[in-house]
Amino acid sequence: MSASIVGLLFIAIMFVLLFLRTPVWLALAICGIAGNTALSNVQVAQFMAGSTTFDMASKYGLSVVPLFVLMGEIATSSRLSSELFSAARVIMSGLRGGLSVATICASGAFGAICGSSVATAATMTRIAMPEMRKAGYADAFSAGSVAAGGTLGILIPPSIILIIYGAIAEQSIPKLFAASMIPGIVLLILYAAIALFVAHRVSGQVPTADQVSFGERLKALLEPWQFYLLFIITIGGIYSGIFSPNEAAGVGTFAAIVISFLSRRLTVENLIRALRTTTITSAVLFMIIIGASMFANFVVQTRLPNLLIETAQAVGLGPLMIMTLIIILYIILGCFLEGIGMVLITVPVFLPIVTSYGYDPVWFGVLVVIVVELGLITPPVGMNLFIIQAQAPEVSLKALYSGIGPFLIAPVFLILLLFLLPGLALWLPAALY
Amino acid sequence: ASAETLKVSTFLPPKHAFNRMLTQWGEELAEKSGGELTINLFPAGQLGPAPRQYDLAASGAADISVVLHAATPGRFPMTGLAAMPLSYPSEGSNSAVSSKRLTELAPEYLAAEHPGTKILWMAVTPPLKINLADKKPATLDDLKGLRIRYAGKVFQQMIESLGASPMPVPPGEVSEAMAKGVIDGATFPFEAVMAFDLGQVVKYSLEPGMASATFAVVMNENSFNALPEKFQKLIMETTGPARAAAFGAMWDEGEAKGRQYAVDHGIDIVTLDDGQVKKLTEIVTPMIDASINAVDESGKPGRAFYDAYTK
Amino acid sequence: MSGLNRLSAAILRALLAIAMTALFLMILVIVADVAMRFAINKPLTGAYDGVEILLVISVFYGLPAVIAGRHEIIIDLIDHFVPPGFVEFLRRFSSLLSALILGFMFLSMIDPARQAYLYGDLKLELNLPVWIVWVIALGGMAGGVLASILNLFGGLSGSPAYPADKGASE
Ligand code: NA
Ligand code: NA
Repeated sequence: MSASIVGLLFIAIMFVLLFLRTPVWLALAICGIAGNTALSNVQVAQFMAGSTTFDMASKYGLSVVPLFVLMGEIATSSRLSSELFSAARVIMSGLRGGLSVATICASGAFGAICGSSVATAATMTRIAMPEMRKAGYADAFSAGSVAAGGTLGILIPPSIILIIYGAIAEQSIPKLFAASMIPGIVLLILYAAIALFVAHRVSGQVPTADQVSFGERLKALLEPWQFYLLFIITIGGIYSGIFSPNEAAGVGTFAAIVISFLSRRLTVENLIRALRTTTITSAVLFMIIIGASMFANFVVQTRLPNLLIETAQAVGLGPLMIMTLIIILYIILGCFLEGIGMVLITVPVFLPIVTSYGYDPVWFGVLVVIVVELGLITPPVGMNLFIIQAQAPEVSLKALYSGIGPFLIAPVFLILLLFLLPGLALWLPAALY
Repeated sequence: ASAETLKVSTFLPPKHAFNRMLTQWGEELAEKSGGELTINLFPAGQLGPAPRQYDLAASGAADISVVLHAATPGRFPMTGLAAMPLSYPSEGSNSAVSSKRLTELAPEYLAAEHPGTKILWMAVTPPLKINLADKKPATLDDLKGLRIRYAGKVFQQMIESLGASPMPVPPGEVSEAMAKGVIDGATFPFEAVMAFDLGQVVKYSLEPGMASATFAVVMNENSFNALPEKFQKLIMETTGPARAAAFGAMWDEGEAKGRQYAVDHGIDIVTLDDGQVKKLTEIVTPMIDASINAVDESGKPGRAFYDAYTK
Repeated sequence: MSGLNRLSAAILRALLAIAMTALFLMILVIVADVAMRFAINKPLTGAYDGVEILLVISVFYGLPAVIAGRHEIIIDLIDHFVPPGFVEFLRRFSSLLSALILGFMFLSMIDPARQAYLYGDLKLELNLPVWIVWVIALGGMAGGVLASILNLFGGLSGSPAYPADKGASE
């Protein structure tokens, strides 16, 4: 049996396991271990299982995962994210679907200090979901808004995925952050447009909210001053070079704790609770990262991605067609892999091809984040969807899958834009550096 | 005869000289074996991070891997002597010479430190230079109090012994870190100064280079022994000192290009005078002696190896 | 709750407390390093190593709580199509798989841990032997295996240590 057949077989097995309620990390780990055994032998599988588990849990770059999750917890406990949301809500009032737009904007704003999509979605679920339900929004639409908004956490800098991409591709992380800024804002606008469209087209989804005066809107805008302070500390610190993008997660979280304590919004008890939930959530994420790395290790050895690209090149497909193929491959992978695992498998294979066609590695980094984002919200394995379900168990996965549908158009459209206007990503880093 | 494919792993970025050389070597194997012996290259740490590369080959999870000795501090004390400051064959510090010399000495001195594997060849980088953003390093004293990016224990110790602070900064971030004054300098070969386009931020480079990093290309012993004899022979013929020299020459060429880049970008390449070099030697000698003694005390011929390498 | 069950619950609680402490220390190490660089122009030696080690502790000692509390992410679409009895069967089946795989991972980690010891691997800045970090990781992993075995026998669902919250929910 050839390696590619083994690869396809285990990808199929993983789908079956997932469908049969096997925990996501476990399905990935089983296929990684069994796949390696099938390709080589059980000793190789053992080596891979033992070393990957330890190596991923001791990777400096991944320390940002628990730190950003904790930042989300602290922001929730200290009502920081709820202030953000209410500011956005007041500003968007009077719009049909305004709460959904407010959710997306507040997610984008929170994403400006937090680099984790999952943490952004988790925070916003707890704040925005109950409000939308109270206002009579359909669960599917609300959950779709939160899931989509959450993806802004990794496109609007800081961003865990860009930190990892930068490490693999040896690109400057602040430059990558700068490159993803404008596409992040564009994506936010696209999501908001989709939300408004859905709200207007689909009857019974959303009632209209009350109007408020301009003065009230301005006042609401100034309300989340603690957030602005945090933003200045983290982004200012990164760009002035006081700390690295990696350290920004720790410094930002520490600043959030201190600010919340000083303004008497966080008690020691709440802090301990936040530490507990963060530890559990980040262990859940790490198990998936570890499982995905084992699976990635296996998929890489089947050489499926290489084979596909080599075949495409052999039949004479041009650069643009190959790029299209790469994006389609990413979208397919995104359906069943988690973001970090996806970056680990694909970037070493695709980056040399992409740069050989003259595409900028920084530009490609932005593209990778967008496809990873898309993966976070595409069924069946969409981390943001799972996190929302964990926070709001009463929303069914089925409703989530249907609610996210319309929002999937936005990242796809943004990818097109990025090809037509590479300056969207490349202008800001060029202007800054 | 059945076809064989060797699984080759590196942690280095896809376009790195090592990956180019291994691809070239793979093509040579394929050509000389009539397409029966080929390699599959897994670059950029796809099979495991830098500190895991040796284990990959030793355990058989990969057939061949590229080992950076400095990535696993404590594991290769004898090999580490070749990475000591100012420690080069007297014939020259360029990579072609040092890589070849180290490969020649490997069977006698280094094989024991690479158990379970067969060393195909060793590689020693061109010496890493100290590159500074603002301060002209007219004397060694000018380095005192500066923050300098390093990689690996040897450079950490050396930077400290020069009275500067070693800072761990990922290579991709050196440019901004220097531009913003987070660090005052970085230890890099000229090739990396060019690769990371530091022409705008580096104003001074210091020659001679301080020390080199060492690599080994190793093959799992069982994988090797399981190959048909003709393939074993082919592998032996296409590796060893000659391959090391060829690879070193490839590195030297890159280093020469990097140096030209530095000159073109107006980087002032400062050469320490004999008095300063002597002072530098005095500063680093205790560190070298301590490392050699530690190896000798463990019952291995550290001094003999060091002398043979620097002869 | 039986004595054995109580003991297991206490162990798992202690492991989680260790993980939480490690996470908090990680923040302090990063902030101290940044502050020292900013204030006295000198980095905190070993900060990088420290973060890596604390991450290991936080992940591996958080793992038992995830398993015991059944916080893992699953896709439950099938629940709508099959009888509850079958769902329960699938749950038990994945508990079994989970115990087997965690056990396999634990055993797989012993060899690299031994090698870290035999080869004398050291952490770069702290000079700390790497095998110690492996032993720490194995401790957490053992907790995970313990939790997965408890799950096979009905789990600790009644235990006060793990309110039936889902991951990050409060
Ligand atoms: Na962000
Ligand atoms: Na997905």
